[in-house]
Amino acid sequence: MKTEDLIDALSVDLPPSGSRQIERNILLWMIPGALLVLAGVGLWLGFRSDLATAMVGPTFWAKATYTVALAATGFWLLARLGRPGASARAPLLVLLGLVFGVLALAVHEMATMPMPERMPALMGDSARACAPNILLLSALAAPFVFWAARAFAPTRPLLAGAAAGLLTGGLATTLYGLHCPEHTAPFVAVWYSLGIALAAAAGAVAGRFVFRW
Amino acid sequence: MTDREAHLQSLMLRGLNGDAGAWRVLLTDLGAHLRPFFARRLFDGGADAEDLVQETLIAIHAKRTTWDRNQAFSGWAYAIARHKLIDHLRRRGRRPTHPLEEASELFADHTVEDGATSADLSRCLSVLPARQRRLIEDVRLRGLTVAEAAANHGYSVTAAKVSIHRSMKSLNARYATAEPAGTPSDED
Repeated sequence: MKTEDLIDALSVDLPPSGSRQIERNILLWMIPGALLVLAGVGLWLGFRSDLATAMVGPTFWAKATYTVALAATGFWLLARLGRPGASARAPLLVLLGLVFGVLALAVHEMATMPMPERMPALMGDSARACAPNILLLSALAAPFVFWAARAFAPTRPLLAGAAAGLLTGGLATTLYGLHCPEHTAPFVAVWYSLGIALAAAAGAVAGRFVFRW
Repeated sequence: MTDREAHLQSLMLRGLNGDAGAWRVLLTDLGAHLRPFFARRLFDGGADAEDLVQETLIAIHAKRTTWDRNQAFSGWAYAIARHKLIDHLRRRGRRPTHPLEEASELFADHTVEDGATSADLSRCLSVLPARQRRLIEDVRLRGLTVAEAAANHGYSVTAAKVSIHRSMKSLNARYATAEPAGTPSDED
């Protein structure tokens, strides 16, 4: 095919396109993803029995703030990495700030505790189950987000996949908070972060295949 | 922001709003920049370069919504061209490294190759008598009509046509050894 013919063909059908269309699509597709995760938490793990009282206290919301912030940073990072030539430095710096901020908080909390309480605060009752649960829940939301994000054009598909995984991991962990009664900063900083990091790693692997264009 | 960047951005914005004419102009303009850009980096003839031009134009068309209106257009287009080039080389099993500073090069007006070509060209033309040579340069290189060039150099139109024909004939005889000398030119 001659290049001029190709250009002619491409210029024929040209529907107007709004700005931020892909971002809006991802947000839209996150709704069914979130509902599926919510169903997963409710039917498979069960909501925590003291949910009503927990939702009045600050710990529940502090945990949710951390995980929502991670999801939002993942979204931001994905939107940057999905646009050829755009810089991803700002969201990466925010991500580092978030993780190190929460780790510092955890270290501070540990340091001000009497020695015998430290290990239980770090391990809680569900340290082993936490990260795998988050990874599985994240996998429920991932198809929706990755599907919508395919409209992007990431020149670094691995990193873009990790960003999408961070988004679904943060979303899943926020809803996982409806099940998980752990309430110490060290537990959240280590095990929640680990679960989300696993989700991001899985996303990076998926990104290599999904974000081909 | 350079004039070219502003020009490309305005075409891009109009294309995003559904202006097919502007989109055609933009793609044609980009194609003309992409062709030498790829040819310089492939070292293996024009066929692959033309394939890459088409692939890149298709990607620019399909992914046009990924251009952020606050972002430099040339940086965006360059990143896509670079992605397609690396993809192509990777499939062939070679991986070059191109620094991102080359973004400006995609839209450069002049390249080293342009200079080399024009040097070669003037060496070839130097075999012609000066008056004949100036006529050929006006018509074949500067794109003047035969009538305009004839007036410039004091020829009648007919004499100019004959002179151009003779010049082409002697250039052919000298350089186009593969073709028989005296191939009819399209000037008569």
